[in-house]
Amino acid sequence: MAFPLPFEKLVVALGRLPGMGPKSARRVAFYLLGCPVGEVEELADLMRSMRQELRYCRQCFFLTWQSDICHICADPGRERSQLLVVADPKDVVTLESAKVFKGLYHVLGGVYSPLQQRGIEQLRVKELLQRLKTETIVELIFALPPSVEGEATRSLILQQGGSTPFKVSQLAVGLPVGSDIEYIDQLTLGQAIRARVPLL
Amino acid sequence: MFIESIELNAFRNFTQFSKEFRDGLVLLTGPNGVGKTNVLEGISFLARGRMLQEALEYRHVVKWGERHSRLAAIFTNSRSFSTQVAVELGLAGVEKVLLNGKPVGRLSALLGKVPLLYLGPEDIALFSGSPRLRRKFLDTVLSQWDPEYLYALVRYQRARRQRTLALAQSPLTARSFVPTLINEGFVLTCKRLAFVADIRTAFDELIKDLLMLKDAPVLEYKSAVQSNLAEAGPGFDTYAQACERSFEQASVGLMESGPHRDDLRLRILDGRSFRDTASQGELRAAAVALKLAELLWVEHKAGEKAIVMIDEALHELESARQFKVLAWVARERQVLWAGTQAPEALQRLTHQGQACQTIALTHVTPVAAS
Ligand SMILES: [Zn+2]
Repeated sequence: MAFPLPFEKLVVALGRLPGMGPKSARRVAFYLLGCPVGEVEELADLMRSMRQELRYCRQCFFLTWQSDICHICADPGRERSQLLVVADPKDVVTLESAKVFKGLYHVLGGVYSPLQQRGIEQLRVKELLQRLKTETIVELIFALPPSVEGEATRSLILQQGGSTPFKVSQLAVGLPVGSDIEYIDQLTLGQAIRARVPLL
Repeated sequence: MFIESIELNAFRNFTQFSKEFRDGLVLLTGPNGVGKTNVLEGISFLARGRMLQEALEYRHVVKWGERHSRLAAIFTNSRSFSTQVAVELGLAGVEKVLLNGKPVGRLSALLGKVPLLYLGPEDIALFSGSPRLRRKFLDTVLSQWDPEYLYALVRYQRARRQRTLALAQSPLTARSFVPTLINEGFVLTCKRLAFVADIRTAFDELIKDLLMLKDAPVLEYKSAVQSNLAEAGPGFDTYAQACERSFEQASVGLMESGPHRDDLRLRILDGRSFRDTASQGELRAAAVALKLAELLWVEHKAGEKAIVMIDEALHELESARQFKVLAWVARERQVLWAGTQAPEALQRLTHQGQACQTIALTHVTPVAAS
């Protein structure tokens, strides 16, 4: 027997969330049914205001709040000659946690993938090309996923960017820090050998 | 290496099937439809993480009406070291892979562990059939034993699908997949060339022996990109340039070249193709010689004798050749022969004193639950 319609509708909606199957969607719906109304209202408010108040940075398309420019772009201490290209805002958060990169970012909003109906016009490629023209970039660094689509996105940008008066690089692939060669799979090892760095 | 035992639960047509095998000759017999090939499917899946019928969906692997299958086998190598492999699958895919009781995550953990040669009905047509069969032959054996090949192959196929779709929208953006196609295509081509060079001597001897020829046809890898590839390893730059040209033509509607259009060929001394001069029987024997060369290559990679499974493959060979192949293969190897009855070649071997374990499968009449 089905549950009343509002309950079933919520289960369907929750089930569309990433990582949520029909079983966990039902569990969450039951939890929301049982908890104080105030808690549900607060949650709904938080979701709504998150969507209404968060924006994409006008310059780099990372997330920003209460201003057009994100805190990274607004930071006068950042190195403005280095531009690092990522696919998603969450990549910026990950890279920032390493506290190594001091330059600026550009978030494309995904990678080019005809199979997933994501065309180039849905990505902020045009905006990136514009930045390359107007800003004084010395090094362009790609940190896109190492997938076929990530590679295609990179070559698309380089093809459309024409001649590049700056250095172009990408994040290195290879051995995880602190790992013993004995435990590394053959594939990773092969990549690491090919991407070896000269010492002398 | 030999398979010591197998257990199949809710797998294909079996509710429960378990059997112990002896090293050496094993005859798997029974009427059509009793599940002989399904036993081989189970062995293939446990030994190398792949089904014989690649297109088989998991919901058809699990026995009709059940939700999970469980498969397990023990493989023992020449130093009497045993490995237990177990796989659990559901309707949507693999749920658990265990090596000696320890979870190893994915099926790819089984790659390159157990040397196995499967000789099936499709293999016998390797030289008489379409080039697709020969490319599949190369892809199957190389992906099994070379992780870099598998990685390049998966990426190559993905890039091809993406590019085909992209071409329909804009030829300009479709070009962005070309660097990946060239890089991975080059890896695939080099590795296929090296493989052909590796097996050529063995193939040469095997085909001479099987066909009783003085001059054997030469096994060649035919690249659609560059007709004159150096086997020592083609230069990347010339390969890439030739690819680029074919991609430019492809944007106006022509087919582009790459490993997906390459082929294996047998050339006879006067330059003609063996296929144009040989009889059907000779072509079948050449196909078997190629599979046996694969067997030796796999054994060299594994440092261990392989398990050989023969399923409806040799009966189209004339009986003298059939006997020759079986006698050769059965030397120091476990051979599982699936068929409705014992073939003449096998009977001759047992008459000569070779032991053979017979496993007769019968249709099980369902027993009503008590
Ligand atoms: Zn910003």
